Amino acid sequence: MKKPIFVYYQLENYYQNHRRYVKSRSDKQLLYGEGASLADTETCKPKQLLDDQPIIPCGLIAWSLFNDTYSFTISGNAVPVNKKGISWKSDRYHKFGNVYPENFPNNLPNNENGSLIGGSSLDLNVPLNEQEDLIVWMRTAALPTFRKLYGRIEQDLKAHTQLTAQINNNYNTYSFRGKKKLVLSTTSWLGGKNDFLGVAYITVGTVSIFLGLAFFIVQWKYPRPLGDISYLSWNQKPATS
Amino acid sequence: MARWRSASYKARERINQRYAPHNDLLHHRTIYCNDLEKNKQFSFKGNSISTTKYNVLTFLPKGLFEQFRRVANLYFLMISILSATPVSPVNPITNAVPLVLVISVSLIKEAYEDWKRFFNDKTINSTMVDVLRDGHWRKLPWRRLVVGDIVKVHKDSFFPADLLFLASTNQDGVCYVETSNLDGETNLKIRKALERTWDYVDEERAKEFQGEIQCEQPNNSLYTFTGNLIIGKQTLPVTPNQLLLRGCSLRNTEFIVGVAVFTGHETKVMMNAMNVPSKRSTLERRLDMLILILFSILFIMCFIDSICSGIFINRKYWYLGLTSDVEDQFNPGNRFLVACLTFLTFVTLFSPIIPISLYVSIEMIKVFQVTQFINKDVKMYHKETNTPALARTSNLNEELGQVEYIFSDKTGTLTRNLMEFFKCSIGGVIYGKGVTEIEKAAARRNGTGIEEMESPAESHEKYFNFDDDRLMRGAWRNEPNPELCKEFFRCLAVCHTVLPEGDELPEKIVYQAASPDEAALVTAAKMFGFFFFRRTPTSIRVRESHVEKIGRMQDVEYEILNVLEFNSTRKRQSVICRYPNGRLVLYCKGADSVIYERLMERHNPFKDTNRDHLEYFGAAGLRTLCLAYRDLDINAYEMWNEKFVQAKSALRDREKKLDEVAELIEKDLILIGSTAIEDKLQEGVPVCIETLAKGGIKIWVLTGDKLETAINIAYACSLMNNGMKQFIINSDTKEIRDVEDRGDALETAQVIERYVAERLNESLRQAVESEQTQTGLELALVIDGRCLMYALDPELRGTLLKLSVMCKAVVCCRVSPLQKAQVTSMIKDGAKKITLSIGDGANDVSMIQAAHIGVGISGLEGMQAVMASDFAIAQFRFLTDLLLVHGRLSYLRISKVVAYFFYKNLMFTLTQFWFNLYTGFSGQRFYDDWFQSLYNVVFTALPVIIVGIFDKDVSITNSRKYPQLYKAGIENIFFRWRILIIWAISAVYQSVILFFFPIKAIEEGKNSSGRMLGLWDAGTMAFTCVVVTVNLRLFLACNFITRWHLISIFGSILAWFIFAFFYSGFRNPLDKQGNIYQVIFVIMGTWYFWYAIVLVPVASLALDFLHEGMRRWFAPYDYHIIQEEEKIKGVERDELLLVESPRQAPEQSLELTGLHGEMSKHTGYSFDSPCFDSFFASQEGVSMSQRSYDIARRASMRVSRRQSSDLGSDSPPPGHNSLI
Repeated sequence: MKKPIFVYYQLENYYQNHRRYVKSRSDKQLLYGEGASLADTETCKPKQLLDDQPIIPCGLIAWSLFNDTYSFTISGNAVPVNKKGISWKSDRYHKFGNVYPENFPNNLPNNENGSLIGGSSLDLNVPLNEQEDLIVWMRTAALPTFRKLYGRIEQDLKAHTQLTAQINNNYNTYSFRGKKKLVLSTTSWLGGKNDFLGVAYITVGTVSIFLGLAFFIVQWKYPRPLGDISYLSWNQKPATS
Repeated sequence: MARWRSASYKARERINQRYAPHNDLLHHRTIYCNDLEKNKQFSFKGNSISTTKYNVLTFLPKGLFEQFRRVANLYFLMISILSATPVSPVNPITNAVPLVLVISVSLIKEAYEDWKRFFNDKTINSTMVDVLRDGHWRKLPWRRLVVGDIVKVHKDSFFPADLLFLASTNQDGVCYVETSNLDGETNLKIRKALERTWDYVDEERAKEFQGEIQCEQPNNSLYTFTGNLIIGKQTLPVTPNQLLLRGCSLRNTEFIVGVAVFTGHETKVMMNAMNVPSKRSTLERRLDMLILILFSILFIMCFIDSICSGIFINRKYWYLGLTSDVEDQFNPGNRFLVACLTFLTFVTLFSPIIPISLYVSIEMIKVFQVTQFINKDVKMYHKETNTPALARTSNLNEELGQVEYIFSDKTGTLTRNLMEFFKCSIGGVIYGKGVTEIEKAAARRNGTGIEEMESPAESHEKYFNFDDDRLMRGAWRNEPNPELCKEFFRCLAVCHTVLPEGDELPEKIVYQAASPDEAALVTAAKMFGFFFFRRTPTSIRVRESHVEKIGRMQDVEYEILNVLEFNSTRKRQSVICRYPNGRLVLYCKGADSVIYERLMERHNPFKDTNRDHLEYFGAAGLRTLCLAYRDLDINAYEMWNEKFVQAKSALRDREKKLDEVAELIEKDLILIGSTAIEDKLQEGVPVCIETLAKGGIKIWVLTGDKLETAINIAYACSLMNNGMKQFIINSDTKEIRDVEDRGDALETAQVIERYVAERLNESLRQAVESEQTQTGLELALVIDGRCLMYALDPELRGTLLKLSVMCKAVVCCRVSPLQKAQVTSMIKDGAKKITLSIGDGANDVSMIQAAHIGVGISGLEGMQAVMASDFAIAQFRFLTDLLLVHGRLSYLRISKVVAYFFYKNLMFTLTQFWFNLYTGFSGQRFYDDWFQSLYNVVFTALPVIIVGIFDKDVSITNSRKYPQLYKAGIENIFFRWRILIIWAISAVYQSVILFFFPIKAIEEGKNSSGRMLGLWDAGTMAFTCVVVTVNLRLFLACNFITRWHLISIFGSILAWFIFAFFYSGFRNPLDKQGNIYQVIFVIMGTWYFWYAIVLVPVASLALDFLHEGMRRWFAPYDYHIIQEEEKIKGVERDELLLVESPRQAPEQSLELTGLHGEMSKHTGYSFDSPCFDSFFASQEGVSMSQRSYDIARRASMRVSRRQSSDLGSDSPPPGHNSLI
């Protein structure tokens, strides 16, 4: 595998596109931090306030941040995973501001009132626009089965190399029987391999050629002269005498 | 027994209906003239009128109410309200904006129209009129006028209210009024004040006028008025003759004085201003069905999703934060409530399935079609009268493309209502050389030489198309019977009710006649040298040039003693006049049947020859009248006149009594001869009818004319031919006449009923037989009004309907206006076919309103039909263009537009539906709010309107050349369910492609950076594909492409991109969620976008392309073939060439022709008079125009005065005809 090799995690049966989930964020807060009013974070409910203090970043999406971690070794040598640049530039520059996490429930020592704990905690000393895992996570997926970029391995992997992955299984998917998968993939300028679009192109093309041929044969065997007015409906029924 | 009783009961009821008095004198109003105080107690309504729909206060509530009566608007209001609640997945603004837009456009239109009406009313209400107040004429605005006021109306001004006519500056207390606003007739009518009030002309006298009027309550009958004027102890009956109606204007009279009887909204004309029922096209009604289907789909989708969402919701999805205090909509503890609330969510989410912009778009398209195409079509512009076609409503354009039945009036519509004196028969000799159109057509059918005998050029006098050297220029003196000729001409010159106007010179005089027949006859007299030039109330002056030396003129004054009016029961008209030499003679003209009955037994040697001539005239389609005279004995006359005067002043059953008295003197007549008048066909009628028939349209002629005339006209316009099997159901048979003569109305009714039932069943049996034997024999039904009355009974109605829809041509003759409407409704409601009525006169109004589409003939006189119509054209032949071109195209366009709307909204909503199968049925939106709300009103709005305006399957030339193309509309080929199902299948298929392709494609990284795309990227991508696909789909749907198509389609796609750039380029301050922010730039930066944008539309349109291709290849529509032909042969540009396409070669076999002549042994009597209609009107309870034969009344009033002085000296020697 040529570098860069992309490391993805894939979740299945995980409804990141559920209405309650999708809206549970505040883009204003992500950009302006405390500048966002209470009304702006209204949509974050039920993860809007903690002890009457605004949660930054608020909402279910941030709260349920994926927190499995992966590390790779080849015959004992650690393979570094670059976690920079896994998010879209526009997200980093335009959607997430220089906002530091605050009052984030997952950062509390433990679940204080016995309720469910969410996902990953956040580094309180790093502004949100640099916390790329969060940025990637918050670009919510369209389908319940989705992949998200975890990082890049920036070295070539030769064939038959045995790559060992160590997974910290933190993220709870057992309750809803969601599957987790780890995916390593390279991309071309078109994107990932086994492209759906490619298959679709070939299918549509094939069908078109086939139909074209069929039409051709039919026209060849049973031609209908164009513009022959004897084919008009009222000319076909022989006039009653 | 029971059966007999029920039948007799019905018949009796019918008789009761017929003779029921239609005025109820029990409820009357009393008016004290010139007495404001006394009238106050009655609190009559004022004279100000208001025709506005709204006022300042009611505009908003009422206007909004009107708007929300449209289901679509109400639905969107509800959706907007719903989207303001937490269940909504979308922002309320996004639903409200299109709604507000749509409604404000409609409200502004309403307000503007109402403002115009208001302004109009204001002008009318402040018109000034002279009112007598405090003993002086005061100029007051109309609105200040009250009942009982005495007003003075000057020449050429309008009457401010319904006035009781008191006095005028004219002698004899008459005045002339023009009623064109009421009935469209431009000839002047005479009104005459009661003699007792003649002298209240000037101020001094008028202020002394004290009287009490007792009259009927306000009603809408324009031609009736009953009341009494009580002056002192005298009670004088007043009639419509003394009533001056608001809306009419005063002519030829300096001023008149009258008392206001009905004011403001109580005037007859205002009571008549009915709300024309607004018609909706059938397609639009089917559209409602479609909307209903969309609603059901919506309901089903919401139902499925909400049930599933109730099942789905579960605490196990911990990341959804479904804690115990979760809001109801996601509370797994109450799944039922979850389902209910989610249902509402989905209703809001899927709301775009109802196309909010559909109605507005269709309205715009139709208005454009109307104003730019129909109203401006040169082909429907009549140069002679400078009349373009006029669509008075834009609701029915597409209905014009589906007409299957046309009901046409005859006179004025198929024919010109121009009567020309054509032939005559005097003393058994036939005169006149002309050949009628009908004869020419018959000759053409026979294949015998068509002699183009054009009518002689020299006699280009209106109403006169006659040439025969034996009669013209005094030559008649050398004929075998010059005395009889003289009687003939005199009868023409004297026996009529025509009013001469203008200079008393033969070239300049204008005859104001109650019917064009009369004008033709009087003109004929003029041409023969008996120039009628002046009429006074008691006399007629004729300039006669028949005397010994040619060129010597002599003015002869005939004193008119009595006029026995024409009406349709009498079918004759008589005038009793006295020559200057004292000869007392009765001239009579009328239908052959009535005249022959009253002829003297002897002294009528050429009776039989004349009958032959009448039959010949009738066969040639001419209208005939018989003329006769009788010399009267002075004593006998006086005795008779006493009875006449008595009858005249009878208060009850006056008309009936007058008829009875007339009967006494109209006997022992001596036949003079008969006249034949040609009723000229309108230009291009036969060709038009043939073309329409080829287009699958069935044309029925509904006319007040008699059977034979109607059949002849049907022949002349190629509606019927000899190849047809004809069923004639006619009440004018010997049997029925015999029964009638016995005078038992009940028995007559029964006999006719039995006869009609028998005939109908027998005809139906034969029709079915001929259908089964597949002889291809075309059928024609002719039925007269009287039989129709029974045939329209519930029991026979079904039979009549079955029979008539099997017939290719149906002619109903002698039908009343109401029957015209009944026949129309029978087909409309019974056969469920689209009907069109076309007519020109007031008697067609009911039929025009009853049909799906009413067409009025405009341009000549008469506005009533036009006012009631939906479309007005100047000529019958313009129907070809109106239906075959405009109607067909409108239908094609509108059905395409509606189907396209159906498709694009269904498809759009389905993509959201598929998406929600993957979101845990949560009601998450796939697209952004604004995408969704602008989808209908911006990104896909314009192109479909362009297609709706410009789309055209074949050239206009070929639309005319192939009238058969019209059948597609009748069979509803383009908007039947099959078509909609195909569109729906296409919508489902496309939605699958448009949802799954973009969303499946983003499961992996989409460029070399390996980054992943999310929900909003997929949504925006899919939306882009949707916009592109939906817009490109139009290219497949439309038949040809102009630059407007290109501009609008690519403009819409471009508009989406521009919007997307702006929308994702700037943060939306209103939107708390910046979901779409920067999205378009991200996805456009991936190859995925560019590949998908090519693949997805192609893949989605592939199915439609395949379908269209297969359609064209294997089962081409007719228009496909013609398109190909156009492509190969090129389109003929010069469309004028085909307007009057040459007649098709006659297809009938030769042995059949000529049948017609033998069959119609009729004499062609017809004398069009509005009275004929009013006769039926009184029978059926419909009030129609009735011209009062004022002159006759005036004349007879004077008679009584002068009798005593004149009678003694003038004893006419019978048989002496010469005057000197």
